[in-house]
Amino acid sequence: MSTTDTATHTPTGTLLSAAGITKAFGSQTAVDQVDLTLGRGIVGVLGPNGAGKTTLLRILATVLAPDRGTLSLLGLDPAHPTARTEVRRRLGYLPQSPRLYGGFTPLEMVDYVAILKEHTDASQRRREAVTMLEAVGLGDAMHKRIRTLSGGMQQRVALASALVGAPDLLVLDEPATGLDPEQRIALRSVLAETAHRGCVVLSTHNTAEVAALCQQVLVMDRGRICWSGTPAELAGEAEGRVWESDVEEPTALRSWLTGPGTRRHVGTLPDGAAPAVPTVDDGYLLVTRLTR
Amino acid sequence: MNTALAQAAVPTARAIRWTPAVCLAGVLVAATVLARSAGGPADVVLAIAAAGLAATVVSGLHDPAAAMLSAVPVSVMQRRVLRLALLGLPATAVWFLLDSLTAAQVSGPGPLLALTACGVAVALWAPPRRAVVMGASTPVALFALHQFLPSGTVSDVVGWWLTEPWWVLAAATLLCVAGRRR
Repeated sequence: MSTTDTATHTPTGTLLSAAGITKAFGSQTAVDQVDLTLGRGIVGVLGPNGAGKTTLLRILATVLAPDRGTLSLLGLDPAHPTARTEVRRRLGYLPQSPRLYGGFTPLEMVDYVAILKEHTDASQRRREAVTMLEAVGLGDAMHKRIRTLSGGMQQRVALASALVGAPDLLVLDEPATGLDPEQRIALRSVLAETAHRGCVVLSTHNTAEVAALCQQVLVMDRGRICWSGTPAELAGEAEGRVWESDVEEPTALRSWLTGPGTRRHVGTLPDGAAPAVPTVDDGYLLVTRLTR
Repeated sequence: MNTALAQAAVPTARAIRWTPAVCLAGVLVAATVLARSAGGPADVVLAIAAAGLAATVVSGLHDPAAAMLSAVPVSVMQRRVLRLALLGLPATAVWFLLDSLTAAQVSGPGPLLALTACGVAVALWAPPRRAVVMGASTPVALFALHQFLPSGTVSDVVGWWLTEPWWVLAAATLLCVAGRRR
């Protein structure tokens, strides 16, 4: 797939659509004319720091209103207060580096979020909170104080809070931060389950996460979606344009040292060099460099 | 919505940091009793109490988990009102207790409510990152300015929260209503 500002992935109907959404903070345009149409599945947003990922996700989570453009979430226009409230009833949001109440237990925290999501049946709410905490692997820690839990466990409490209420739209800003490999794999299972019934949009710096989890990838740079497609297509962008050698290569757009001590390059393959098997990392580096 | 907000009252109360408020209330009661027994200026003690209690109520707007709760159906405005109510009711009770302990001419919760409303208005209109700090500082600043400014028009205006508290309350409430979506 070539460089584009439009991402399309509607396996069973549109759950989220955006047209020309723009958000600026003072003179800095954080999100610039983004068009987006998403259906069920998991969509990963990749991009360097400051690319506008968090701002875009905050807009999709109804936390920020765009300055320009139109947005439809679950068929509703979040610009209207009543519709925004309705969207929020069916939305889960995990912000970047979420803070929780240290004096609460995970069960109390998830239960509190469920109350604020207007789940008023106390016994049903409790059951769901327990189910969510067990799903994120916190069944044994649900009665401990949050302040006594590790960063990864606190991140999972926040994730369980976002998941409560079986949301149709789940917006997660770097959900795997602080999680160990085992927890990351558990996260994938939880998100894959959610994606069966709705749309999951997550931002990450981890291309391996995207390759393992996402059906679609959006690459953002300087507020724009500069590429979209599948993880395989992103890796395919580097087909025939990645190679390894022992020395610096002048034709390379990017070069870096690998573990064994050789240099890996993306760019124009020099004469005589053997192309290496491309990865999502290679494709991402190439795409972000080519669009600059 | 109302059911959700009612159910949220107890956990929200648990999420509030009560220790500073309880300590302040204890100090104010002790200071009031001491001032009464020593024949100190009761008006000043009550003014200090109004400023301190108002600052405490406004500081209750600080919600550590605000980002986590930023996309729930119960809006931030409703959650703020709930927090203000949860802190405001005991603060008013403490005020009446202090009022009953003194023979000050300025009685009634007017100054407390006026300062609280001023602080909330500032918190709503200030830049989000410093909103609560600026809002909570407002009652203390108004008290200090009223105490230390030389007599004159400016000092009189700054002291309206004490002399014309209900008008100040009305004006600050209007500012709060205008800024409720911020």
